[in-house]
Amino acid sequence: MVVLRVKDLVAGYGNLRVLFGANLEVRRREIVAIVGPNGSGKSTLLKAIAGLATVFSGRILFDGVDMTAVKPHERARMGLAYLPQTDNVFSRLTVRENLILAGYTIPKDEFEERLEEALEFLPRVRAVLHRKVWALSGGERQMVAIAMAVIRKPRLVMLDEPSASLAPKVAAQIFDKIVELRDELGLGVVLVEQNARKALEISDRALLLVAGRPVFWGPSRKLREREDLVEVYLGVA
Amino acid sequence: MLPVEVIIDAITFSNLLALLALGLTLTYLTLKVPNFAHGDLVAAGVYVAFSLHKLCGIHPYLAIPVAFLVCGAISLASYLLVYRPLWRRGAGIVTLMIASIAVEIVLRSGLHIYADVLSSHLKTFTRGFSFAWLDWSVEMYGRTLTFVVIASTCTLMAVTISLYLFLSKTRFGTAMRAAIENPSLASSLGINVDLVYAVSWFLAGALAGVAGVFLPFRMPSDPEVGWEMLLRTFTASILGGLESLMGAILGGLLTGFAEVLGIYVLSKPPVSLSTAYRPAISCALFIMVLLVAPGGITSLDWRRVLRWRRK
Repeated sequence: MVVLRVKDLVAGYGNLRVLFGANLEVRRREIVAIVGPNGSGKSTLLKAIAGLATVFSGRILFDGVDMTAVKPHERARMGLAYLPQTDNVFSRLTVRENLILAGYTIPKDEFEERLEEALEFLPRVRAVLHRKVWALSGGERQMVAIAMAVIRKPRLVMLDEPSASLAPKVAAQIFDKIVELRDELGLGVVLVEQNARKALEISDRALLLVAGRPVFWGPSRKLREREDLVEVYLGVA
Repeated sequence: MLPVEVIIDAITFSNLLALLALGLTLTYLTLKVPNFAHGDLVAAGVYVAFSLHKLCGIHPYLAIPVAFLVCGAISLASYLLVYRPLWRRGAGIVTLMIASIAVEIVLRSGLHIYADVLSSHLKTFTRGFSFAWLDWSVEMYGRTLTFVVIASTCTLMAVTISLYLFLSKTRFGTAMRAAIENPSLASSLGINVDLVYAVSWFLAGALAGVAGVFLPFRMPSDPEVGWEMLLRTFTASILGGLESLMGAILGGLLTGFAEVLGIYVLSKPPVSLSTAYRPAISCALFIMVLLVAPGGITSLDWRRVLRWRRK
């Protein structure tokens, strides 16, 4: 079942166009990786889907509903979770307050149950529940960000560079959790990642963007086999 | 030794500045614009109380809820009609600041026109009026206190406690803090950032309106009174760190005390400075804060300051 479909999307910021004709499809229980060199428009694509960038043309369908013109907070209510590359948690608030905000659209009587489910999925977050976020390590912050997505029971989670600036061991734990989002919770996942090797390893399908234009779209396994693309654009030998 | 009357006067003035600085900080936190029109909302509050008293015979203290709503509505309208459209078009701080100066001129001119109309209608003074003669007296510890000092202190305490509870204990308050810290992330979580900002602007105007009701009990007021209070409000807000609501309250209290106690001391021999120079104290404090602690008192590392003092 297709959760997200992006058709011929041209997007950017203000009058500046960054993305030219991107196409994407994400099913339930699937990880789609978006890879490409710096400045290729990967993050812009996520922001456009989340409603935080300007869309010049093209369509974004979520569960078959056109949400191209829908406001960002309403997209979130439709079941879309977006974890930005930086500032994906509220540093001045406690972890619990962050989780309360993540469950902002959830009825109050359901919240505690959802919180418990999220903490079971991410036990490390339970240990830091009452701490201020600014006092957490990079890995703990990412775990909190993922918990914030999980608590909302979204149908699609979009993660922008979740392993950025993390130690390899911590990054591996984050990638494990992303796989669990797909396998245990059955979610659709869109992953933008600089670590292209790992992203292609855990994803089912991949989109390669170069200078805002799609160069490859298909199974990740096939992209890994395309040495010409992988070596030139992703630096993965 | 400072006379008790001077300290009481400082408390009243500080309370009003704290209410004003709180509002100015609230609006700054949303769009990051120093709102030059904020002072005129105080003047609007003054005229709401004055009009209700003159036209309907309502005591100014009873006009507080009306001033709260009217000034909140004016502030909200300025946000919805001027600042929000500009912000959505990507206007920078300079554009927004100039827009706020334009709104200030429009509001102040409007108040002058209203004062003229009221003057000809009522055949009375609508400039330089005071509510001091309407104030009640309270006997306390063998001293006679004006009611304005008690009312303004209670109001500031109630606002501080309510604001603390609202921001830390309610979901909407937490959402407000979140939307102020990171609007895009808040939006992506389903929080209506537009609504949060609109509430902030309404509250800012409403608090200025309440301060406006108290102001004529403390000093003669006219349509220019908001402009006169503006620099003091900026001083208080910047002293408080500009991004901290509790800092704004503290900044308001410190600025108010500095001005009232400062002019009392300086007007005595050997300096014998004219009290007309009183606003200069706020100006001097404003410049000092910008030079010494541009991030305000809440940004200072107090442990380091204390260590330096001990040396």
